[in-house]
Amino acid sequence: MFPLFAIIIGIPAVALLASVLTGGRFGKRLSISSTLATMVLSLYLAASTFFGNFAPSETYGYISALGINLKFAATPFSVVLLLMASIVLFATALSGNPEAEKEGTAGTLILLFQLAAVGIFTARNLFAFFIFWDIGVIALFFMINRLGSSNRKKASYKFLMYEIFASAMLFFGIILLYMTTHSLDIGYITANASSIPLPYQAAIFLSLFVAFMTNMPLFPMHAWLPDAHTEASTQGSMLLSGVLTKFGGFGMLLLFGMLPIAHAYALDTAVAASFSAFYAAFLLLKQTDIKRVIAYSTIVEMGIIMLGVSTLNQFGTFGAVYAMLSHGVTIALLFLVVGVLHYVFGERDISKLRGALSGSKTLSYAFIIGVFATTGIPLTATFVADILIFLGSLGAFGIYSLLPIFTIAVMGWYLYLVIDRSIMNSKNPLPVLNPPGLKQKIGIALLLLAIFAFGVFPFVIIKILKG
Amino acid sequence: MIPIFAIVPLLAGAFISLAMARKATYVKHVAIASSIASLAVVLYMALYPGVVNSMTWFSLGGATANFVTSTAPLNLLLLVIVALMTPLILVYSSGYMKVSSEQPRYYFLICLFAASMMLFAISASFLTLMVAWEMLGITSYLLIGFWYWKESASQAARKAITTILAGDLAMLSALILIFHAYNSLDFSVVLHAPASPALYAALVLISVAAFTKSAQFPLNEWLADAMEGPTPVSAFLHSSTMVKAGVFLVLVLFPLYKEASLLGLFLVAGSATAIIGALNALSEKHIKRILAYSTMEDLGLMFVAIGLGSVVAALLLFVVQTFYKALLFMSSGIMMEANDGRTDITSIYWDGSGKLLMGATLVGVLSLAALFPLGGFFGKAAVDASSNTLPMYALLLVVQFVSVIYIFRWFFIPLHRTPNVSETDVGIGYKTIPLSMLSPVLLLAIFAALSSLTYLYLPGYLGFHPVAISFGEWVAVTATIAAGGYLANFLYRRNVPARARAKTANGFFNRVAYSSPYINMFYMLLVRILFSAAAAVSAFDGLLGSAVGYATGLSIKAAYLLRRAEDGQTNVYIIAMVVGMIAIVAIFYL
Repeated sequence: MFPLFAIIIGIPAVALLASVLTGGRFGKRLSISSTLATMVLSLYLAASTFFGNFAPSETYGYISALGINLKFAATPFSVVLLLMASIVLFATALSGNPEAEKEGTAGTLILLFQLAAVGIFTARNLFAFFIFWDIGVIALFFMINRLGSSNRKKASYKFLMYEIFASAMLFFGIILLYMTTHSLDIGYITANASSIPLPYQAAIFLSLFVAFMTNMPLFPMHAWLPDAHTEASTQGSMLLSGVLTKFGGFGMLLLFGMLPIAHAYALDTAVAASFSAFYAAFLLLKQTDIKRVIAYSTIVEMGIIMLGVSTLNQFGTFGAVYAMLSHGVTIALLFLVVGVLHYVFGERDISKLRGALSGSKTLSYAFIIGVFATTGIPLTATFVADILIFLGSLGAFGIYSLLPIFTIAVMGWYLYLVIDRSIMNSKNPLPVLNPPGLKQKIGIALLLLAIFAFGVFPFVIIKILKG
Repeated sequence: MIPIFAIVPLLAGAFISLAMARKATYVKHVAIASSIASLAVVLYMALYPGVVNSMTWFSLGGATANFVTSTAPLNLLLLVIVALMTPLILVYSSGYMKVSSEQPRYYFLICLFAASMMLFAISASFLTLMVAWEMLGITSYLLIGFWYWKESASQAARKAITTILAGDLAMLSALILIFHAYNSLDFSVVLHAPASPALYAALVLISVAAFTKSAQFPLNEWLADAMEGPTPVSAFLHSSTMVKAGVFLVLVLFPLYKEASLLGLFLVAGSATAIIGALNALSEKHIKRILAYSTMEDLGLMFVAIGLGSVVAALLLFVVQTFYKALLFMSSGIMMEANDGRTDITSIYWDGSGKLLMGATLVGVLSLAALFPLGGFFGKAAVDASSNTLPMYALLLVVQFVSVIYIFRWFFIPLHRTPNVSETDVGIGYKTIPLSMLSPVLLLAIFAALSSLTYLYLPGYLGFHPVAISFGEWVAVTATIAAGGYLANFLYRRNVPARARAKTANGFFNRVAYSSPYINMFYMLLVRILFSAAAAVSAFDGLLGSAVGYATGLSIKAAYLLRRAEDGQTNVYIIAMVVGMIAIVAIFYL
């Protein structure tokens, strides 16, 4: 039997080891080749799932006596999310560092994060899930702490505090699950969750919900995200918004699919998610740093994704996965473009950046298309995601659940204002300090391709999701 | 032949244009050739109407989203109009766009714009419609902001896309409501669907979306600013594409609106827009903005016709307006060109040369003024004829009276102005108008005159009852033109700039009419409210942040307190031990 998952997880692990042993000298090359290999493998996985050949699950014993083992399998959701994560990771490793600063450290940390990402989306054992979760958090903590801008230390500790709190809640929830079901196997727990006594179910639900909502993030646990993004390097931002926030979203999908009590809380979580989206949309209006604007748009988008998860019906759930797919590639594109804009013009503040379109057509049009994709123009992936999510929420909660569409409008209006002020209007255009490199252009092209491919051929993804 | 083939040549042309950055001189030929190929395909399709093609985009949980295109007569009507206009616009553009470095982008966008409108014309499901609808939105955004380095162009583009985005999301909500209610997005399903609250809500949302595209009150503000785009774009946008999309959509869904008795919505919005447009056109001086406000008025009249329940009248005006408005925009572009890019009608001149152009423009002016037997007469008289009450009829006549005055004002002021030498020296003048710009204008003048034939043939072709224009109608409209023409002649022809300016420049009338200040103020207020809310949320978020910070500080302080108990000082330990033992003894023995 072809041990697909062992290879998918093994590649970053071996590359990481090699990178560490050589002192990070080959960090960049190793990270690019490792992420490229994972992208090819996950495309293969997606293709074989599309044609109906599910990869069999793989189990490797660890502490078998306690039910702790490393079990990996491809659920429809994980195939799609793995595809998204691997595309974002490759684009990040290839083009996220135009300044070429500390490439060795950055490459090594990307490998560490890659290990976490491929692990968490394929893990079918809660122990493995928890381990990979924490690896991801630690990788990004160091990424902010070591590679960020001037105020990075404070931001990285803030990030760590929130994420450690999330980890603690996650741990607590997992322990409770183990106590009540005597198993850590996600499949087994899902099949037997109805036998868990209701008070325990409520406690498990709440602790896991808080853990995942901190990671997503939703109001009121969102405070780490804007600071972390402002201070992180471009690569850090791409991975944070593109992939790390999806850990929480993926966790929510597992949680809502696992515990029957989720039905009792669905309306509350939907309201909380919509509120979070509105809250972030209004906060977004007060930002002047383009990176912060995009960071807040992530919170808006994650609120809408949570609304989709809360519906507990097929449309909403598929929509949430689709939205994670589309948001991952779109937001990675936006952060990449803003990062490169900063490299090219030395500015990313709305009031200072002027006339980017006169300086760099590629970047500016990529930004404009990214904004189109964020507002859900048809033929971009977000359009399909929006339709599915709101179809689901309409079925589950009625017509008022369409209200969060308004947050897309608020977000779009402000992003168009950004284009007006900083990209198009060239009254006093900033000079080009460094022209963008070929690698950056390849990364942008790859992400744009992904945005349109997922937008034009939704039936492919939907067939994968149907299983 | 599958209807979607109509746009394939144009799309190919668009992408070839974009790829031809190095050979920019040939781009225009590629674009024109592709548009003519599209026209040929469309004309071939017109021979075999009624083809419907459906492709499944995705299906999930019993609901299927189909990508349906159709060449039913109504679809074909718009398709032919757009396909006919596209080569004309492109030929005109080839004379207009001189900077070759901008040409690939220009032809790419305009071909894409035309293709979107053609896709819109053949769409027969909400999915196809939505794709075309938003493609129209973003291509028009990029075209209005074509000269992006100009602050005004950039702002005008933002104003347009901001309005359009609101409409797009209204459309998205409507699409979701319909998809949820009927598990299908096909027009064929929805048009025969039983009425339901969801459908009612969806129809209201669709009308909002239609108002954003067709610039109806209170979503009309973007249209006049859209003049910042290149003139061929204005000519295209105001005649056959973009602004017509809203009207056409409502016409397609007319049976549903009638059943839901929502027609009053169009009557109110349409008449308000017609009045606003007419008054603004009267007070405006920008040569293109006058025409833009006039477009608003025309669109308002179409919605009035829809509101009155007369689809045929709306369609007649829809068709004839295309030709005279494109014609007027094109000649205004030539006038600006001849006058060194000046746009104020009081500083533009028109000398005796360029007789052909003048004649053609006069056809457009008279057609807009609704002179029998030009096309405009049948459009506007049909709208009049469909009104059923006296106040409505009077309103329509007043609007037409005003439109006669403003269009003659537009025509007379440059015509009777004697230019000073410095002006004639700078511009290229009227003697060297390139043929590529002139020929579309002449062709459109012929179309504008011939479009009166639609009155005879259109209703039959579409299978509607023809609208009857009585002799009384004819007398009323002609009298309005005569009166308006006489007044305009008195005000503007006698070449008294001072008098003309005094009539329109200052005072109460101007304050109310000029670029609709109160609508702008309303939106400024909305924006202010939005930002105040944002400030409040932001302040709250700051409080939340400091609360978290405070809690962190407290826990650190608690840690310091606890640390004292563990600081390694033996005497403190002994004292604590003694105190503890005393306490234990006290608790147990007292």
